[in-house]
Amino acid sequence: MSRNSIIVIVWIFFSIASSAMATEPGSQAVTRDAVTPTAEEITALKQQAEKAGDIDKLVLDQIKNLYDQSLEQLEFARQWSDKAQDFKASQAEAPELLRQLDAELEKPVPPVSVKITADADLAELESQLLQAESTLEAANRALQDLRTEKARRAERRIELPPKNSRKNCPLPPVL
Amino acid sequence: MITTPLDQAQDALNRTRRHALANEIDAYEQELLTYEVRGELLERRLEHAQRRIEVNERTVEELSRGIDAQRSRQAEAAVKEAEREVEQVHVALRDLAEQNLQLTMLRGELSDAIEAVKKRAAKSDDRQKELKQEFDKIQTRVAAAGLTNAIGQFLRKIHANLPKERRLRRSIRELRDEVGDVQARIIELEDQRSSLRDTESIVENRLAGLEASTTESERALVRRLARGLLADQKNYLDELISDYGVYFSELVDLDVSQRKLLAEAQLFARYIEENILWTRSANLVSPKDVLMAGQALEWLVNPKGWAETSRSIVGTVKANPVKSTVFTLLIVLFLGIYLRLRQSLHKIVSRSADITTASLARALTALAITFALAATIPAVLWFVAWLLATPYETSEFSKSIAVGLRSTAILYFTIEFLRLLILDGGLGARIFKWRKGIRHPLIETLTWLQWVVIPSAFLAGVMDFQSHEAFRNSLGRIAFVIPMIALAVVAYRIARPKGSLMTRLTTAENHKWIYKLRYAIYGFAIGLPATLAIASLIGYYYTAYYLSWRITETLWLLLALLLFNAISQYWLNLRIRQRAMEQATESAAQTATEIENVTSDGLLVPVEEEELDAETISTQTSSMLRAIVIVGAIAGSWLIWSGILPAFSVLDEIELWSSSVEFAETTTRPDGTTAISKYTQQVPITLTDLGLSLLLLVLAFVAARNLPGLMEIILLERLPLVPSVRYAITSLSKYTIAGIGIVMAFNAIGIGWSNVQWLVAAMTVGLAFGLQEIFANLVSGIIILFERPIRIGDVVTVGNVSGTVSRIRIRATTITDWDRKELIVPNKHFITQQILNWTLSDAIIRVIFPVSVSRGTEVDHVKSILLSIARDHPLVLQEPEPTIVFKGFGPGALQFDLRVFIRREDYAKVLDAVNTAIEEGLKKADIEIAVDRQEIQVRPARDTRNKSELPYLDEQEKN
Repeated sequence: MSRNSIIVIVWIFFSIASSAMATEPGSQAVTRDAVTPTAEEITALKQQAEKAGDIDKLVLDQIKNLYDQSLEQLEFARQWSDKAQDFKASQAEAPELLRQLDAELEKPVPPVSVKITADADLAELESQLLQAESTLEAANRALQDLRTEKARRAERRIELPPKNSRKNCPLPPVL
Repeated sequence: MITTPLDQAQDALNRTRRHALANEIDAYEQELLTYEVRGELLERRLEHAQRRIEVNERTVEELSRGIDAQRSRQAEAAVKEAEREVEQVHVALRDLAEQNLQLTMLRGELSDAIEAVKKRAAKSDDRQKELKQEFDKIQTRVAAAGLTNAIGQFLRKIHANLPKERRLRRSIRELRDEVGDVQARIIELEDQRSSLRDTESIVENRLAGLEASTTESERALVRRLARGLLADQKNYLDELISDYGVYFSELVDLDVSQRKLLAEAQLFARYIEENILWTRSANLVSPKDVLMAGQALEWLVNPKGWAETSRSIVGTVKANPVKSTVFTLLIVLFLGIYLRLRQSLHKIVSRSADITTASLARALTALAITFALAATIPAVLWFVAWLLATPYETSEFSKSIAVGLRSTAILYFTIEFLRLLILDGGLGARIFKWRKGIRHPLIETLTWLQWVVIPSAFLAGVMDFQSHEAFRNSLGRIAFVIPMIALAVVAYRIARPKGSLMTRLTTAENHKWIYKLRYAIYGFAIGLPATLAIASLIGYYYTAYYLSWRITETLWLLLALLLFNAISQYWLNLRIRQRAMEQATESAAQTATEIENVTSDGLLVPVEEEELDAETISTQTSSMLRAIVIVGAIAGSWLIWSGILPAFSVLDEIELWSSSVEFAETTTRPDGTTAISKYTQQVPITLTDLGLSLLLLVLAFVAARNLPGLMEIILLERLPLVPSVRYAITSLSKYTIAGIGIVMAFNAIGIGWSNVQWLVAAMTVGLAFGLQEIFANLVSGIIILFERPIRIGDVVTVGNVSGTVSRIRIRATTITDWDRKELIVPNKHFITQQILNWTLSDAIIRVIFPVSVSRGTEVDHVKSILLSIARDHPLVLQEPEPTIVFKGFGPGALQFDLRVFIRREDYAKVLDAVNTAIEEGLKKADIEIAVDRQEIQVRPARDTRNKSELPYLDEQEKN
């Protein structure tokens, strides 16, 4: 066997292997693969079925319903894809945000800037206190939100893998 | 292969769905990745937010402090100003000035109160945060290193210093009251402020009150001053109202903070209690402990400490004069009537023991008096403990003595209550009829045991509360071990299998189980206190001490159940006796009437009374009460012990099998809308579930068997229901309880309807063929109970058999005929076939007496005799009236039918009595009763036969 033949065989092997790997669930569907019909194609098929005069009305209704569901699934696919993009974007911006926060945290804690003189007006002081309390409340709420977010993420981390495996369950075969 | 347009459409859907799912999975994966990447960012954000909070908190704190100081300054200035005004003001306006002074002083006090509440709230918040942090830290440490002895000791220390639940609850209660008072005060001040609205008229009133000699210039001065004072008062009131508003909100904040602290402390305490039980709290007992016990005793008898206790008592009395006085008076009153109570107890007990004067209310009163007598001295001890422990700044010594007194009070009460119950003139002896042979050894034991147990309980209680670990492990431990040894000795003496107490107990008919378990009981009774003593000596003192209190609680539970059982049995016996007496009275009255009116008696048909008889009720109710006591014991013990015994949670870890349960999950679509999808999950069935299922089955079985008796005596007997309806209700309740119990038991082990529906469907088909007769009878039984075509006591004719319905069961009905033979008739027969019910709507039946007299007798004479017989008989009804019918001519006789109407239950009596009367009446009138006659005519037959065929004729002829 010549060297060229061996190269061709190896190339063919890798081509088959890579195409087999590409059909693994989860990896193929990042973007719409070539075999998924577009919305236009589905609409055209639907119209074609509607125009064909030899289909029974009951079957035609069934066909139309299936095409409508297909369109809905395409819409879902688009929305999920948008979500994935959002997640990617937030991953990308994370390092910069982290740098900014680190810089902020390195600064010393600002001193309390409250000066109360003996003749200070009580009403004014009380309004300042109210304002400070509402700021504190907002800060507490923000902290609580962050804690909730942390807990939510922990829950999602537990929840998502089994959900993913459920979604990966065998689908009806694509003909 | 795509062949049709439908396939093509389906294929398009499959592809798009696959595409959507792939994108969904990708989105989830990206989401997970994002959490990885942004995890650190979230932590930094949390840190940043916490820093912001710290800064803001400091600002708020600073401002609050400044405001408080400013408010105090202003209040002080106002007081000074008001004081100056009081001194300088015109005499006619002095009261106004003094009012203003009061208001300013009140504001000063309020300012201090606000500051104090703020401090308390801040302290409470800090404590709660501290506890939370400590709790988190401890949990992490326990998770990492396990529960070592060191951690156990640390937890015990924390437990001793945890905020006391009772004190926090009291504080929350007081805060609530204070909030209410503040609201009322605000309303009062607002009213006062409104009354100052028309200043000028108030000023004019003041001027009108001046003497007539007052000059105009003086009047002008008073007017000006009054205006000024009133304006000041308005200001003071406004400020006071505003300050009360602040005070109100501070109180609410404090309330919230205290509640949070309480919740946190409870959580922590529970965690510690669950975990520290199985770790050592001390070293093995050694001679050092004896020396240390000496020091502990020195601490205990130290006069300084006792001087502190008197200060605590004075402090409490000063702080709570009303409560202290009321409690003292109550105790003095109680001690005053103590002897009288004892006497009245004897009287009530004697009356309750006498059947003619006995009642449940009286027995309960006797129980309440016994309780009160036993509680008198403990109440005094408890009161002293309250005096010692109430002041906020009370010393540790006083608090320890208070704890010791409380322990003493509890144990004294337990022993005294039991002793009073079993004394010769007590409830146990006279009302519950507990035997002397069982009571006397117990009285003797309790009398000397209290001299050991009570002082030890005091010492152990004191040592447990005080903070010196060494004192607790020395004197405290000794004080604990001594009564445990005493209890073991007591158990050795009284629980011996061949001892007098056990012999007497085991000879009782219903205590056979005690006989069977006598050696186990003996071992347990000695072993339990001995084990606790040994555990305490080897270092598990906390565990032993803690368990001893749980055991005491369990003993209370058992005592309470014993009393409940005794009282219920007493009530049951009472009811049954009363019922028997009522029945006897009714029966005597009935018999008297019968004797008076009936000359002859007929045969009695044996009818099983559908009203439950006394014995059945007694048996069923006793069983039911026993079941309640057992369930109460199990449930109560569970409540007492489940929190600390991990053995119970171990049962939950033993998985027997699993059951599939369908769950509904809400899935969120990318657009935020939700859809519900169902999926099945395997749920493990554990040993606990199996135990629960068995318990449910046993309970259902016991309830189904015994509930009718209890229902009869508690409810149905008192309702205006006829016996057959009561019977129907009890029967159906029985089957319903059994059904529900079975369903619940099966559900507990994961066999729900969804699991067995296929089996039920298959069985239904099988049953439809195989057991259709039985099912038909069961359904017919239910129909009979509801529709009541026959009832117990009805006279019916089924086929050739007539008799009385004596029992209706769900499958078959029993009919007792006149020969007392019992015929079991399947219920289906009554629904699907014709039956004759003589007494369905009316208890009156007609009886026909056929009478035949010789021919030639005068018809009218016979008629008059028979009618008079019928009319004269007391059991023959006059309405409808008896009739006589000349029926016709028989062979040599005139035939009459005497038709009379009677009550069903009199059938046998009337049959006999009327027949006898007819016989006697006709005989008296010389009327011959026709006899069935048969005339035989003998004719000589012509002899055509061969003589050789009749050899005996030859002989006869020869002779």
